[in-house]
Amino acid sequence: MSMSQRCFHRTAVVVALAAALAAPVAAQDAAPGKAEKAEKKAPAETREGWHRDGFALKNGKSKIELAGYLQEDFRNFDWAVNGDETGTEQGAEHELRRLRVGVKAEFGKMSLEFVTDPRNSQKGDRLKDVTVGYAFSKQFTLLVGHFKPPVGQEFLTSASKTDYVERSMIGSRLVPDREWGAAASGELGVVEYSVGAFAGDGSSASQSAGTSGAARLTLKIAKGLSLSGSLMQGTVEPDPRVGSSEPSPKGASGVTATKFTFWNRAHVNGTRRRMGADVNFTRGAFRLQGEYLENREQRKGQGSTGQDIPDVRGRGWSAQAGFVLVGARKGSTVEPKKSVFAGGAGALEVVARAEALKFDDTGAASGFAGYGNRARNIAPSGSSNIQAGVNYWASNFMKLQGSAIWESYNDPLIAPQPGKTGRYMAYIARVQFMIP
Amino acid sequence: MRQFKLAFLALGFGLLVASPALAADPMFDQSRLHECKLELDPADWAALRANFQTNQYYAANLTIDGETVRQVGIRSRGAGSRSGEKPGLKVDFNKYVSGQEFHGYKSVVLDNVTQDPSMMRELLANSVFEAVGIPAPQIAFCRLTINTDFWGLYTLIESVSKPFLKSRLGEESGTLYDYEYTDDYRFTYKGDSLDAYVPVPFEPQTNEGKLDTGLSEFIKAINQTPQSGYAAAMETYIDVKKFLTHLAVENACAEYDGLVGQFGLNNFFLYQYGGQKKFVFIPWDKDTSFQATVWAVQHRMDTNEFTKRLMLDPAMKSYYESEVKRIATSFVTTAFLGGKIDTFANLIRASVSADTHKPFSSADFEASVSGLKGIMAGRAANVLSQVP
Repeated sequence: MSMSQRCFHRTAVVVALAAALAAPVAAQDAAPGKAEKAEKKAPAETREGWHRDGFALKNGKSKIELAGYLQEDFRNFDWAVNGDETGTEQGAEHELRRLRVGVKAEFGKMSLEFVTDPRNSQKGDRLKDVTVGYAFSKQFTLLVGHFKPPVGQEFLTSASKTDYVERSMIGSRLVPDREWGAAASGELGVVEYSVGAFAGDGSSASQSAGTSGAARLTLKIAKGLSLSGSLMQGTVEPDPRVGSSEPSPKGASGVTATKFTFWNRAHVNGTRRRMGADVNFTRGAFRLQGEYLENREQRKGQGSTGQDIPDVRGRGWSAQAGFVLVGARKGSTVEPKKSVFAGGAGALEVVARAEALKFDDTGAASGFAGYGNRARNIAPSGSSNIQAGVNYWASNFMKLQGSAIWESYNDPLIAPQPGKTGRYMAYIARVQFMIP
Repeated sequence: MRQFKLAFLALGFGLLVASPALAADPMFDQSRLHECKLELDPADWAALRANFQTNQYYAANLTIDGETVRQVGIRSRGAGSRSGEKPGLKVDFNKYVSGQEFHGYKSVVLDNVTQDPSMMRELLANSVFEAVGIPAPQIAFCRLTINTDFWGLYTLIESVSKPFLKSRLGEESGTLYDYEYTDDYRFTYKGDSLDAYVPVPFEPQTNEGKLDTGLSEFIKAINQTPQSGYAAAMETYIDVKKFLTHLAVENACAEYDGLVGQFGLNNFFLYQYGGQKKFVFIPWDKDTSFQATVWAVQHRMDTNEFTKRLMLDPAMKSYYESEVKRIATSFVTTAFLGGKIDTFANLIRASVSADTHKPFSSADFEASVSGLKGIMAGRAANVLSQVP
């Protein structure tokens, strides 16, 4: 299939799915007026017997609902990567970024979820969330299946609800991936907890560690203010050498929102530990979030002569603020008071973020500092950026996002154009259709 | 008027044989002994030496004549010349730094020259290729220092890659194959599938993801084109006369490990021009040239499917032999190469003596240099005795 055919095919898929959603969207968007009137006439009550409600089937407190969303991304750059003949060092100008389809169900205290990405291009990573949960009490819920280990604030936020087209670098590069496991969670007064055991830290990733444990605690300090800490630890084994082929390194990689790789994976062996802390402050239309995350990996026997070498460490932070100009903040997202399809204005939020991520080893910076993936003294490399963006919800079914990104790099050699640390300007936009 | 005509003819001949625009980078200036220094973690150098049979890369800073390029990737290279004592090195400028180039090059080779006691055979042979209009990689002598230790006399060689193709062949969009010797192969037909030839022994260096079947078609044509009109038919795939000139250089230079090598095909790159079926051979690693004064003009020409078929064509055989004669009498001579031998010997003698990692003695060096002079003095006469 040629490039133009692929583009046409992808565009056709987007249009078809958008059209499929459009009808119920219009119906749903038109409905609130009638529903509001109905609500005024009669107090809300739980209807008995299975019945359709939007994309859900409900029966009392039980429900089965469709879940999913679609994201098409568009990127524009004012720079190119030197020597990038394969076009892999910079994000595509447009792509169908995510497609999720699935179903969620609740039967009393039991919950079920199955979400997948059906695209052929996602073969091997199609399975997203597959869970069975049981809420024994508010203090203790058990979740078993394939899901995200509880690490990091933005990582745990659905990609359909993030304030930016791309998660922060720490929220995308230092975090685990979905994994098979079990976790307990609940609320104990002002403390929320989640603790789990997992088969690894990324079921579809060849860099995955072995059995890992993860925990996250959130302290609700005051109304709208919370402080959280996360920890995940496992043991990663090096890729074995097969014949004369070199093993693949399993360490973390550093990639920016524009897809430029500023840090290649190192060979690691031993403990992989992630530690993080984040703070969240929300008051009315305003939200402020800060996050720190660190990923440290041992390199036992990974020196060029098989010697132990200092750990490799990636650590970074992000600070972001958002203000809802139109609409209302609800949980991790924003909802329009009235959709544009019902004559409303939708919802509008402006956001800004600063972030940085840097990799280095934990040893003394003595002798030759190299870029090699078995270097004892690693030449440090990092990237930082400032973003400003706008999020617009036409309705609960359609969201438009746009971000301007100014990226810069610590090492002038490890930059899209060697010798120039920055700033590199890019614009990223997203059209998203979702089942709310 | 007659002088004018002669001058005009000489100019015309010169244009015919002139080498395509040679980049003449000062890094490859053969009149000086260049200083190369690699700075890297001593443990990495120890690992490279211990694992010299692997292609594991290590990061280093390379300085050539005082000009430093940071964070290059180096790895052990070579086939028979691989060595842990005196490693031959491939230097990739863009291994760790995307897009990094040095003087327009993405890589160079630091050849350990362990198979040639005179250490200058490749320079001499490449100068003959250039003299007859066949682009050959630029090459110069250098002293290599690893961190603070002098590691020996090396040659600094231009890599055959896109910059070479663009500057010497005029375009780089085609497919470059590096012939990686694995066993005795002589252009025999192994089927229509490209997989029969790629990636072993023909390892693609460009267009890896979009190879066409040009190579397998070429080899099929070598084997299955009827003998009647063979050379004309092969013009679809190659400039036959230029190919014969390439072969003529190798046998005029008494090369025993080339296209009609002792062990089968070896030491060349094959380039398929972009959007065409046409190929061209590029010489590589000619340090086994000038083996003897007495060397058959038709040395092993009957052992290779392609050369064997061409030699069955009287016109092609005649052209080939006239080329060997022209090259041997014009370029494999004391007049053309004798001065270079003396100049090179004087340039490198002290460094060869100080090179404690070389696998031969300084006496071997002197004997080999003397041997080269003897070959230059007698080679033309030997060829003339075969092709009067």
